[in-house]
Order: sequence, then structure tokens, then C-alpha cells
Amino acid sequence: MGDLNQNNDSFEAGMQGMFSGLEQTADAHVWNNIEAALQQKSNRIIAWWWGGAAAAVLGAVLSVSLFNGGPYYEPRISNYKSINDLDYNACPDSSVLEWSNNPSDNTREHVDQIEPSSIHESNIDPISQIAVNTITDHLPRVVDSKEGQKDKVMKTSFTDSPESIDKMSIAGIELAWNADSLIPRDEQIIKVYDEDEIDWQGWDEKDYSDWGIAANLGSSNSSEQSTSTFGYQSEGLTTQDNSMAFGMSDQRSILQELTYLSPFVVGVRGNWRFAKRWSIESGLSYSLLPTVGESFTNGDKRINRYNDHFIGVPILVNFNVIDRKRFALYTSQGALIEKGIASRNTITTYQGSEVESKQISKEPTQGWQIGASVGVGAQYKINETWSLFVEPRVTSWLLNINVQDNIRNRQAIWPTIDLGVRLNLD
Amino acid sequence: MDKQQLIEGCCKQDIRSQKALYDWLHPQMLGVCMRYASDRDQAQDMLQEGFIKVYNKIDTYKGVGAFEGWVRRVVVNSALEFLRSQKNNSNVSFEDESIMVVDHRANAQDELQAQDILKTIQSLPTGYRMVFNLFAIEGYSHEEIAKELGISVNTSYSQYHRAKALLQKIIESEKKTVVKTAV
Repeated sequence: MGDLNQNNDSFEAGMQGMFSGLEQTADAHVWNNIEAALQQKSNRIIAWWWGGAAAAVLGAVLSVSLFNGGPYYEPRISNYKSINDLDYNACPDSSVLEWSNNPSDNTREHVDQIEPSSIHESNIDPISQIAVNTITDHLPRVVDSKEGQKDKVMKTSFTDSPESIDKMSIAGIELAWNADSLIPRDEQIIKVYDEDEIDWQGWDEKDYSDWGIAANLGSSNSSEQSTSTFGYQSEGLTTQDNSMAFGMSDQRSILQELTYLSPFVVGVRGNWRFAKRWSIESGLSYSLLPTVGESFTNGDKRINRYNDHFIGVPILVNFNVIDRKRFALYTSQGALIEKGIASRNTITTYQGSEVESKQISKEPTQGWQIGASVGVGAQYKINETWSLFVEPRVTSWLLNINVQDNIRNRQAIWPTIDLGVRLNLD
Repeated sequence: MDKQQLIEGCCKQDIRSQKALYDWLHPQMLGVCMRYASDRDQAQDMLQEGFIKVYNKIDTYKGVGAFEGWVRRVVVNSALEFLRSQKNNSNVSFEDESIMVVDHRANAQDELQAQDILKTIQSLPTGYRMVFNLFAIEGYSHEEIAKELGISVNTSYSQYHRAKALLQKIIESEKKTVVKTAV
């Protein structure tokens, strides 16, 4: 004790020595209080686990029911006749010339009003012998129309046995859609033109700009299409121009039923913690958005499988609600940005149940998709660097810039469950 | 159950491991809390809060350094937090003030015991007590104390030396008493 105030160092050293061995036994109630607090916390964690598990199960059920419920638009189509119901052979005088599954379209009412006699009066051959073989002449591509609008146009020709061609005078099919206005694929109308009245030679020589205009023309309603000339006018061209340019007297539309399949997404994510509970997460993802279109001609089937490929970057902010050595429960919110990189279209034609032909076309894909996303996640740390995570989340793809329609913009909110490996950078 | 098993058990929220850890370390940690508290009841409250934090944070222990030292740091930080949380309700002040220290030496004939100095420390104003403990016993620098407590380095320095001078005076007085008695 006498050394305590000899000098500064010895004073502190003496104090440290004096209190280093100071021990006291606490009263029993201290541990009881600690135990009660730990039990309360344990109950909270269990509640979180159950809540997380319930959310995951709910997300899974929603995802499965949304993605695997058959053709996605079947409920909407069910208000109309399915293309499968069309029996061209049985009703040559009452063939349905146009069809659309777009509820906002008045096509159905119009079609119902077409009398078989009017078809004959217009010198239109029935489609009872519609061609069964298809040849894709042009890949779908985005072209600039004269109105400054971007259209995506594909021309497909039908071939058939010589006798069928003689009977039908079916020359070609144009498949078109507008890439900017987000007209979904299930509203695409396949138009059939009479060969005799189309200058296909000249058509083939036209540049893509003209193809774009053709697409605009085709989007008109059908009330005038049963007449011998175009009775409607597209933007930028007069009726006379239309008629002179294409000479079309008839358009016949066949529904293409589309099924949007579950997206397949893989990627890597890095996580950087910038505060005790907050972290920023980003990375790189690849998304495959498959769409299957089925069209039927004369009882035979053609299947288009569109595989759209995207590269994406998530920008997320995570908040750790529970943070343990191995386990963390967190919320995640931010944006998902995707850029289209390629599209692959596989056309398989069936004659009966036999595959008759299969064609594959590829093209670069442009455009962006941007979505806002929130979710909850659970993470298990494998080691200091890597961890596994599962994240039920919902995403709203708010912006689609020059991207053709796909599953991401078919619905406002998409629930998903992300599974993955995370690189921890903190 | 060895130390490593004890730590792993606590990481898994095993109550038996948590109790074993408490039984093992709580006497030392209560000794620490006694220096920061004004009395035993307050020290036990600090101890309770400190151990709950230890259990909550134990998975952040990286195995670097002694585990007991890590627990001690958590308990000390918890004690400081405890005192700060009472700032609005009591007198945690770092302003210069006259120090009224009660001489707790129960028996002048006995050698000054740690308990006596402890009681003297406990009678210091809260701010002085925190600074004294952190500098003299925990080994913090004045810069670290200033940062930890949100005060200036000068305040930390002056408060420490006032507390130290007072304690030295008591110790010197006791020393003389002991010598006189011996004579």
C-alpha cells in the first residue's frame, strides 16, 4: 500500500494490483433475471423462425401456383373459343377468319357477325386447307417505321402440297408486334394474305422500314378486312398508299397461345457491411425468360419457344434483424436492373404427333428491365467469406424499355424465392 | 466442460453452458462492476445487463485474446452504457465540482483494504468514477476515454488527477495512522 503514491506509474500499478483479484458473489436473483431475459429472447427468435418459415412456404406456394398453372393466360382465353376448337375441315363456309385473346379487343364480336355468305361474296377462299408447313423467311427484328416507332416484324411463309396451294391461295403470314408499346405476345395476330393480291416479289425487296409499316397496318381492327381493299388507314400512309403498296384484300388471324414459363436465374452476389446492421449487396445475374407459343393450323401444331436472355445487376440494401456468428435474418430492399443480351427462337412444327421440322434462330436483344424489390432472407455463414442464403422476395418490374413482352411485365408483383451463395466482403 | 465447449455451448444458446459461464466469471465481473457502481445493488444491475450482452455477442468473439478479457470489456462497456443511460435521471457530470468523499475506513487500526478504497471510489461523482476506473485500472489513455465518454481530453485529464489526488491523500493519511499505531 505504501507504494501507491510514490509516482504516477506505481499508483496505477498498485490500483490495478489491488483490484485485479477483487471478486464478489452476486445474489441469486441476478442469475434468475438473466435467465428470464434469455428465455424471452429465445421465444422471440423462435417466433421469427416460424414467421420466416411461413413466409417462405407462402412464397413457394404462390410461385408454384403462378408459374406452373398451365398456360398463364388460360383464364382470359377461356372467355373465347380456344384455337383448339377451330375445326377448319368441318366448316369451310364458316371458318373463323380472325381471332384474338385480347379482352379489350372487339374482334370476337366482329367475328361472330361474319356470315359465311359474306366470305364468299368477298371471293375469299375458306381456310379449310390451310398450309401445314412453315418457313421462316426473316428473323424477328426491331425496325424503325416512318412514324419513328419501333416495330418488331417477322415474315413467315407457308408452303403446302401443290394441290393445297391451288385451292387456298395462301401465300404468307406476317407476324408482327410493336416493341415499344408493350403489346404482349399473346395479342399478336398472325395474318394470312391471299397470294394473288400481294406482290410478294416486291415485298421481299423492300427494306425493313416497310416491314414496320406493314406491322402497323396489321394491327387495325378487322371490320374492314373482309372487303376487297383496305378500308382503314395507318399512320403516315393513306388508304390508297396502303392498297398500292401491298394490295392486300384479306387478313385472317390465327391465335397464338402463349405460356410464360418460370424464369431461371443464377448469379453471384457480394455483400459489404457498412454499419453494424446495414450492408450493401450487388453482383451479377443471368436470367432466362422462356415463353412458349402454340399455334394450330388445320389440326397441326407449331410451337415457338422464345428464350430471352438477360444479364442483371441487383443493387440492394440489407438490414440484419438478427445477426449471429453463423446465422442472420435480414430484410433486403433495392432495385434489380436487367439488360437483354440475346434471344433464341426455336420453331418446331408438328404434323400430327410427328415433328416435321425444327428451326432455330438467334438474334441480339436490346432493352432494359428495371424492378423494385423487397424481401426477407435467412443466411447461414459457411465461413468468414462465404454464406448460403434463402430470400423470399417480391419484385415489381416497373420499367421495360425496348424489351419485348415477357413474364416479367405480365403482372405487377412477382413473388420469388432466391437461393444462393453470398460472398461476404466485410 | 472445458472453456471452448463452454463458449460453443453459449453460441448455441445452451442454457446450461450459459449458467456455467456465469458461475465461472460472475464473481470477477461483479468486482469490476463494483468499481463503476455507487453501491452493490447498482453493481448487480450492471452485472445483469453485462452478462445478457455477453450472451448476445458471444458469437462475435473471434478467439483472439483471452476470453475472460473479452468478457470483461463487454461488461465494462455495458457498465459505462448503464451509467450513461442514467444520465438524465442522475448526476453524471463531467463539470468541475467539489468532491465530497466519505472516509469509509471502518477501523483505522487495520491496514487499508481494497474494500475501503473501493468504497471511496464508489463515493466519487459518477463522471470522476468512470474516468478514474478507465485510466487507472483498465489502462485506457485519456484520448480513448475522451472518445468513449464524449468529453474532452483535458476534462478527462483534470478529473482523473483530482480523483487521484484525493485517493492519494486518503492513502497517505491512512499510512500515517498505521505508522503511529505501530509506534
